[in-house]
Amino acid sequence: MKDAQHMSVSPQENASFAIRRLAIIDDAEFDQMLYARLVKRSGLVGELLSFFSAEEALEYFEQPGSLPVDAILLDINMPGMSGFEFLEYVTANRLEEYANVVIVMLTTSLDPADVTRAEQFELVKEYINKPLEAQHLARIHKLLQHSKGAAP
Amino acid sequence: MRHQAKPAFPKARHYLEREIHELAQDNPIWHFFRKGSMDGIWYWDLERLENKWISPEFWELIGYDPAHRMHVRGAWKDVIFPEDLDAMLKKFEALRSGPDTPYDQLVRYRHANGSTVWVRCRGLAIRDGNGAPIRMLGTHIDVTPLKQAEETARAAQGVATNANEELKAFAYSTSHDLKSPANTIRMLLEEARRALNTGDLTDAKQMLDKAETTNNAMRGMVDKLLDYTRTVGTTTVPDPIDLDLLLVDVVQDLAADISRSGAKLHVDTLGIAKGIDWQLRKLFQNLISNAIKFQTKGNTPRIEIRTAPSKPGVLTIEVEDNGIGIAEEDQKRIFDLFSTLNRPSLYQGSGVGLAFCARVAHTHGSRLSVKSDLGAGTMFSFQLPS
Repeated sequence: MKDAQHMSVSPQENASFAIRRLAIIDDAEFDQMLYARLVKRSGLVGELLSFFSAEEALEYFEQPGSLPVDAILLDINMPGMSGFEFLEYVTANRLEEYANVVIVMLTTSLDPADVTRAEQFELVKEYINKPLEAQHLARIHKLLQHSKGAAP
Repeated sequence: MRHQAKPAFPKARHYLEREIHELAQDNPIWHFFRKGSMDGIWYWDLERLENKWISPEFWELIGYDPAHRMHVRGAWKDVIFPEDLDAMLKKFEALRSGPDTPYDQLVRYRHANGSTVWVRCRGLAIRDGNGAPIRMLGTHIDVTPLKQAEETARAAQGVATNANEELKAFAYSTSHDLKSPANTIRMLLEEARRALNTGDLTDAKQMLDKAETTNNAMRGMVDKLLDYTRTVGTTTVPDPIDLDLLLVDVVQDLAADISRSGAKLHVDTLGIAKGIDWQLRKLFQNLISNAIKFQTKGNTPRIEIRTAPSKPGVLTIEVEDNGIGIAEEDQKRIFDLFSTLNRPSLYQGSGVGLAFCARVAHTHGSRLSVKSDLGAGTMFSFQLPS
């Protein structure tokens, strides 16, 4: 994990957090710093993985034991691999491993075509317009409970 | 010409021509209508469809010498569009059995020079004592200029539709890429306020510095976007421009960046080309500052601007650097608006610069092309009318 930042709020008690492990994939450096602050304040997340590119995230998740994460917040427009390309890769190659991960698009894109495209991925559970707020994290928590309830 | 002209027999009048002259009785009104308001007449024997008399104006209209063509039986069938002939014969079938409706059809003929001639053909059946249609007298009106205007209008509409689509895509991506830093600034200001509330002045200052950095980047992007939009729908007529003088200015404007980076810039004599001054200025500015910006740390940027052999009437210009280069798979999207290839923390790009350069090349009737090897440098080239 060359560039990814790893923030573990309280590793020994991960299980007690609403979202045990959350990954955010976004190239915007200041935004990542701001997410980390928000996540810390919210007290909802046990461990935060920040990736500045989809390639970095994939590389990390290729390592054995790196999955599962509970949720991935995914930006669309990034240099190199875009959020959609990430989804295409994962859907084609790693669908089973990601089946229980709640993937949420986190973007400023207002283009309806992007929303439609996101909806076409089975893995995408939600589409959030930036900025990320504490209520979004609560919403992800709810989605997690829901998905666990549906597929125990 | 497929049908070689047979010897004409100008004196042997077609029986239909004789008939029509008897009908008209040399009435001056008839001559007025025939010459003054129509492009020709035709007279058709509905009992023997192979017999049709067409006035000489028709042959002139489609580029043939009437003396050679008008007496060749059925010669008009060689120049009519086959699908229009089919439609014509169907209409006549309907007229023969049906009520007395006028015949009216837009028919295409092939001009001797290969172009299409649009003729509106209208006619009325002449019936015998039993009401059976025996002849049809009709007129030709050349509507080719109207049709051509219609085509031009349709093409213009197509261009407008494309421009509209482009504008829509532009509005979406622009709103996204401007909203993005606006969001970041908003969050940074919130953090600054939070820090002030807790008395953490160091943190507040850090957040405000970051907000300022983001704001500056955003302003730079807005300026570039304004340049980009100014190139859309440009109607400025290109002027002859002394590119060597123009580059002296551009290099002067970039003097600070050039000396800070230690860049070695070599500019050949380029000469004069036709172009839009401000666009070419910004194009060189963008290409040179990119060459300085996208450079491996510690490397001395080397930039060469030169001409390359080209066809007469055009001037090919190449801008080559020894920078970080562009991977082959990325080369096709570097000219897309807001497309950036690098981590913002490493190389800050707005994603507008090269899109602008590509547009400038386009408004100068050319394309911006790129040759690059990752890690070894990049060469952009484009053409200007000389």
